Amino acid sequence: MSGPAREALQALYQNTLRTSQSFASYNFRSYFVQRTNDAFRAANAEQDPSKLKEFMDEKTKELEVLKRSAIINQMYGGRKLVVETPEDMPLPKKMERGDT
Amino acid sequence: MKLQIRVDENGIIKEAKFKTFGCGSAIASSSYMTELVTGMSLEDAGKIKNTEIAKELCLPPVKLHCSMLAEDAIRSAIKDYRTKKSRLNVSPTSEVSSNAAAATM
Amino acid sequence: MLVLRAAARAQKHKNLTQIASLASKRTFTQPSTATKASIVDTPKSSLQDTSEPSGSIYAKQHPAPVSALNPIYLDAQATTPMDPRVLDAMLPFLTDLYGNPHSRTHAYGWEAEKGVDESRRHVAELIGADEKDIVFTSGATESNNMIIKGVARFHKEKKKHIITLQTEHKCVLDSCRKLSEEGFDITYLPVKRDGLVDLELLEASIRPDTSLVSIMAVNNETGVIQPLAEIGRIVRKHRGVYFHTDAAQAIGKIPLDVNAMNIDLMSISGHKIYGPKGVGAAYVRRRPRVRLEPILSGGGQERGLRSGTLPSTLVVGLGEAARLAAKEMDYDHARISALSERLINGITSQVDHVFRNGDPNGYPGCVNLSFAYIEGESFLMAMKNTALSSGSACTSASLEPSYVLRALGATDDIAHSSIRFGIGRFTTEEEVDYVIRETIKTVNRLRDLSPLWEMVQEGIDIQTINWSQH
Repeated sequence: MSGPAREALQALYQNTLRTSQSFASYNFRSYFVQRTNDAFRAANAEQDPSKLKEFMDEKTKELEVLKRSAIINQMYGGRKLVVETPEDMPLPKKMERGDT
Repeated sequence: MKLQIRVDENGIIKEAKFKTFGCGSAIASSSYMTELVTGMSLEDAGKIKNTEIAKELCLPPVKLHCSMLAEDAIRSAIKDYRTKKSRLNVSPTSEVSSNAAAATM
Repeated sequence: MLVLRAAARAQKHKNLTQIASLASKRTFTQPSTATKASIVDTPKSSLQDTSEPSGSIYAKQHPAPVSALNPIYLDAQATTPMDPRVLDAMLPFLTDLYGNPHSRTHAYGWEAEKGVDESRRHVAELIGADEKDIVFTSGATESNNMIIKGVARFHKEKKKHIITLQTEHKCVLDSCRKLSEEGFDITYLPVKRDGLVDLELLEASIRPDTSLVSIMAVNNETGVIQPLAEIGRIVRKHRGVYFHTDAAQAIGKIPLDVNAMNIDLMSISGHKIYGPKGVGAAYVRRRPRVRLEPILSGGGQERGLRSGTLPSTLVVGLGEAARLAAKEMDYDHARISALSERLINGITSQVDHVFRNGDPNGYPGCVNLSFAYIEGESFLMAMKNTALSSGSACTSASLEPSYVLRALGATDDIAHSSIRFGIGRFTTEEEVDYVIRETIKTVNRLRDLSPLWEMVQEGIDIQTINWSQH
């Protein structure tokens, strides 16, 4: 995989992971974090450039959905479950310049 | 429901233990029954009505039969004790324990 | 303005409660629009337990929760949480795109119709059907009613016989009972010990006057998967008999193809596939056309089969849920199978006298276990921080134990002791481990309390007990 493409994938992964960690509800947070890790790990192994582009496009769109969903979840969700330990607590989302 | 009572020479129930296969209300009814009868005489224990238990536990109407089971259990236990006592022909100083099992389909 | 900037700088280091109180000090503010919204601007969650009064003007008036820690949800067959991505797809239709999808004359109607059409396509793709075959309803119960009563009544001149199973959902059985009052002949086929239908018995039961065979794809209590392809093949051999399947629990979880499986009619439910409650769909085959008499009379929407304005918000939710289900089916199935195995092994390795009700090759997300010598409702009450379900009589309003388990041949005490664990897309490994630990603790505790367990330990055969009836 070429340099810029790899960098773009990495940036998308970091963004998506941060957004997934910002969900207030335990179940959604755990699911999206694991899903992000699994999906991007599989993409890393992918060699076909057209499939990679498809993946990037899809995940970029999904990132917007996840960001909005995370905000809504913070406003309306977030009941604490019995299994939640301090390590599971959502990390505060660090805003990056240019990150809308 | 399995109810065991230990009765002293004066006919007072010293101890009561239970085991129950049933829903939460059944377990609660039998547990409450054991607490009620400890320290009671056999006659008084025999007079306990299921409505007393249902009222104390605030059982909903659909669970009333659970308290009925507890009432039957204590009556059977008393009957069983009396049967054993008369059969053994015991002297007034010794203790007899009895147990009874009641069940509903 | 200075107060605003100070708040913006401070927000990265302070928690949200302080922001809320700062906001209340602002005297001249505008609510931020969606494009400018950042995470730190969001008001406090309405569900979070706070001891301070909420000062933010956005906070919903919501009473504080009773307990600080909430139970784990393991009842996926009852309903499922709505996927946040589904909610995101629905929200535009709950705010600005509020048009009636049947309004032909303006853009509000057109954009709503566009959303509905896209949903129809997603649902159709999930089951391998054509778009035009999908009819949106209010849920699987309405779909079942519409299909069973509709097909039966349309063909009632020549065909009076319907075949179904004893383990079907209540709405199917009740529809059939209503039809039998109208003069139809219903055959309720028994199932084998593992919950599967006996195919030879099914073939033998089909008569020249049979109009419908209704067999659910995945059972909601036991997770048994019926051999749909084989049943479809059998039914196809007889002209004029339609094959209906209630796929509420199967959709998005196992692969379904209405053409490969020769399915003519199917019921779909929204809230079992991480979509909204109150919406479902019916698949009604057009080639060859299946005729049915509609239940609702009105403006002739949905091919005349289901009149009424479509709830575009809910329909869009169902469509998005279907799209996600198709995309994530393999990933979810692998995850859920692993969790299910973990749960079963975790429990059975530490506790004995545990029986699995239903075919072990059924859907892994539905695990129905019976713990002998303890009762289901007491188990549920003792498991404090878990949300589960039981087939015991004490949990039902009618005091009858589950008829599904009875049809599987389970004795009464096994039916009374059954617990259903439902694993879903959002269940985590930690939750499963917690449930395993709690289950073992609870089972041991309740068995200590149980006279039947005591008798078994002493070697007494329970069948020989003389029970007094009440």
